[in-house]
Amino acid sequence: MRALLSWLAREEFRLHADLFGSRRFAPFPLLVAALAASAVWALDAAGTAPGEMVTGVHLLVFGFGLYTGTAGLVGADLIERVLGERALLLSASAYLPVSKRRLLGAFLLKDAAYYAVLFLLPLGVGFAPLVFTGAFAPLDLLILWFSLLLLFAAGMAITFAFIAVRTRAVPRSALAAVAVGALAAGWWTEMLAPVWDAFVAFDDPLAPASLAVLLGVPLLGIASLAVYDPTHRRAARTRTAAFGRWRRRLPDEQGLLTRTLLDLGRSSGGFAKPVVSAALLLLLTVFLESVAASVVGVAPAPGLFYGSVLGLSAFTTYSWLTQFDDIAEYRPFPITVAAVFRAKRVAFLLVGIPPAVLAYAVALAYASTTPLDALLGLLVLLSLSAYFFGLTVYLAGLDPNAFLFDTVRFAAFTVGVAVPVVPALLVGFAAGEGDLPLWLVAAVAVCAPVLGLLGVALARRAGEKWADAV
Amino acid sequence: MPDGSHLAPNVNAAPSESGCMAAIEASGLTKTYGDVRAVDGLSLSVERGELFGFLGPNGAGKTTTIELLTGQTRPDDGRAEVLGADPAADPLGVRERVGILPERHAPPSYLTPREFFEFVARVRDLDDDAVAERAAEWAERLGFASKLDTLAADLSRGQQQKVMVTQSFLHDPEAVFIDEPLANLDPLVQERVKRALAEHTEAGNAALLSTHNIEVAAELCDRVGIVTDGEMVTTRQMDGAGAESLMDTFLEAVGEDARDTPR
Repeated sequence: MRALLSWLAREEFRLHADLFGSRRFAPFPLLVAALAASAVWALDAAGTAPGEMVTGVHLLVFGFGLYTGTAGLVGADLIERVLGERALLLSASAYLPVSKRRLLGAFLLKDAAYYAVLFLLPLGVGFAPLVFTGAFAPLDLLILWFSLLLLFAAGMAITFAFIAVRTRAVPRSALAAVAVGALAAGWWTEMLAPVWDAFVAFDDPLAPASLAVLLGVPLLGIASLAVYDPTHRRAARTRTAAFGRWRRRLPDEQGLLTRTLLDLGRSSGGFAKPVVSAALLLLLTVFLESVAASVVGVAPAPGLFYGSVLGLSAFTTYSWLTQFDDIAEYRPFPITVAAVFRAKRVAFLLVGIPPAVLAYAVALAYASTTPLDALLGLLVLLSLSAYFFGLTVYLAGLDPNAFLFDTVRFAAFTVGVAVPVVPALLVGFAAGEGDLPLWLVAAVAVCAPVLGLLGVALARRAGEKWADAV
Repeated sequence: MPDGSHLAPNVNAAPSESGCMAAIEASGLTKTYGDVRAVDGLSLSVERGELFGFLGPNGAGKTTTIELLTGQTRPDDGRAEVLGADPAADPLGVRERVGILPERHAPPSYLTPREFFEFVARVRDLDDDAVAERAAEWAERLGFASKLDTLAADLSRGQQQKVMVTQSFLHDPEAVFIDEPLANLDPLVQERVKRALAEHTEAGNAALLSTHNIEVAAELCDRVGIVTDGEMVTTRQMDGAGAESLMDTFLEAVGEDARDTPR
C-alpha cells in the first residue's frame, strides 16, 4: 500500500507539473499561504473575531472536500475527459492484478494527503498573523490544520459514500431525498449546529463528539469502499436527435453553440449546474454579508454588495461550459478558435446570466432595498459578470480549472478579481442602507459599464491569443 | 448489409490542368518542439489518385507532419501545398477541402453519432439531408447503424473509431489525411475501411495514410515513404510488392533495433 501511495503521489505531482509546468505549480502552496495570511491580517485589522474566520475557513474546506470526493465517481472516465488523454494509474486495475477497490481507496487517501499538504497546510499557516496578535497560540495553527483536515476528509467521505451507494443501483432521487430529509430533520431537531461543532474539532479537539467524528470519518470511508461495486457499468444511453432542432432555434450557424449546450445539458447535473453554483455563491454571500456587517457595524447597500459578489458566478458557469472540450479537438475542422470562443460567449449569456440575475433577485427579496440601489446593483452584476467572464476566458482559454494550480495565472486572476471587487464592496459599505449619494450613483454608472466593456474586449481578444497558443 | 459501393467518392477530382501539380506537396518541412526536432526538412509529394503510405516507427514525426500539412500547426521552416493552397497561410481553406482522421480523437462525448454528423455538416457548410443520407450509408457499411442515437461517451473505442472514419469522408474530400485508420476495428470493418480508401483514390482523389503497420502499407499503398527521426529516409513504389519486401526496405532505412525515437 505504501508503494502504491508513493506512485500515486508522484503521478499527481507530475500531472500538475505537466499541465502547468513545475515552476508554476511548485510555488502554489506559498501563494495560498500568502493569500490566506493577507486575508486573515486584513480581517483581523477590520475587527473580525477569530472564531468567525475559523468558521469561514472550515466552510470553505468542507465544500472543497465534498468536491474532491467526486474522484470516486469519475474513476478514470471523467478524469480523462477533463484532463485529456492522460492514462492514470487509477485505471491500472483493468490490466494489472490489483483490485480496483484497493486502487480507488489508495487514490482517495492520496488525494486527502496531497491536499492536506498542498492546500490545507498553507491555509492553516495563513492564520499565523493571529499568533503575532496573541489571538492564537502557536500550537493552535497545528490544531487548526488537523481540524481542517478532518472536515476535508469528512466532505470527501460523504460524497464518496453517496457515489458508492449509487453503484448499487440506488436511484439518484432516493439519495437526494435522504440528503434533504437528513438536513430537514437536523434543522427541525436543532441538531445541525451541534453536529457542525462536532466536525469542527478546532474548538475542543478532545471533546467526545470530535473524537467520535475522528473515528467515524475513516470508518465511513472504509464502509463506502466495501459498498462500492467495482464491476458497476452504466448502461449505454440513447438520445433522440436534438442537435438540428436546437440549432435552428439558436443563433448558431456552425453548431458550436448547440454542441456546448448539449454537452452541458446531457452531462451529470445538466442545466441545474449553473443554477446550483449561483445558489451556493448566494448562500456564501449571505454569510459573508452577516459577518462583514457585524464587523463593520453597518450593513452594506444590498444591491451593490450582492451585485458585486454574485458576478463571480461567471467563473463557475464558464467552467461548466468548457468541461468537455478543448481547442485541439476542433483543429481538424475548418473552424477558427475565435468562433469556438464566440459560441462560449453566447452560451454564457444564455445559461450564465439568468441564474446570476435570479440569485440577485432572491438576495434582494431577502434584504429589501431602494429601487435605485437595486438597479445600480443589477448594472454592477451584469458588468462584473461580463468582466469576470472575459478575464477568465483570456487567462485560461478553454481550461479554467487550470487556475487551481497554476501559480502565475491564479495570481493574475486573483488580482484581476480583487481590483474591481474590493472597491465595489467598500463603496457598498460606505453607502450603507440609506439613499445613495448622487456622486456614487454617477461613479458606479460610469465605471461598471467600462469594466463590462473591458470584459467583452478580453473575451474577443481570447480567440486570437489562444489560436496563437496552439 | 450493403457493401457501400454506391457511396460515390468525389469523381470531380481530376488531375489539374497542367497535369503535373501534386495534390499534396511538401518541401523542407521542419518543426521543433523545445529541443526535439519532430520534423526535420521533410519533403514529399502525393499525386491525385494516389494512396501514399507514410510509414515509420512510433514517434517518428508522422502525426506532426499531418498537422503541418493540414494547417493545424505552423512549420518553423519549409513550405507545403495541399490542393493548391498553402496550409500555413490558409489553414481553414485547406481543412474545408480535405478530410482528416486524427490518431487519438474521439467524437464529442455528449453528442450521438447522428448529431455529430449534423455538427460536421454545419461546420463544413454542407446540405443537412445529403449528409444524413451519406452518414446512414457509412453507418451501414461500417456496422454502427444501431448506435446512431447512442451518446458517444457510451460507445466502445471501435465504434468511436468508425464514427471518426465516417466524419473524415462525409464531405467527399479531394484529399484525406488518415492516421492509423484501422485502430480498434474488427477484421471485417478493417476490410471495409481499406475498400473505402481504395475507392477514394480510384476516383482520382489523393490519400496520405500514416501507419506503423507494414502489412497495411504494403497492401493498400501505391507508394510508401519511410520516415524516422522526422526525416523522410526513402520512398518506394509498391507495384504489388508484398509486406516482406517492404519490411526489408524498412529495416534497411530504419535499422534492425527498435529505435528510441525523439517523441
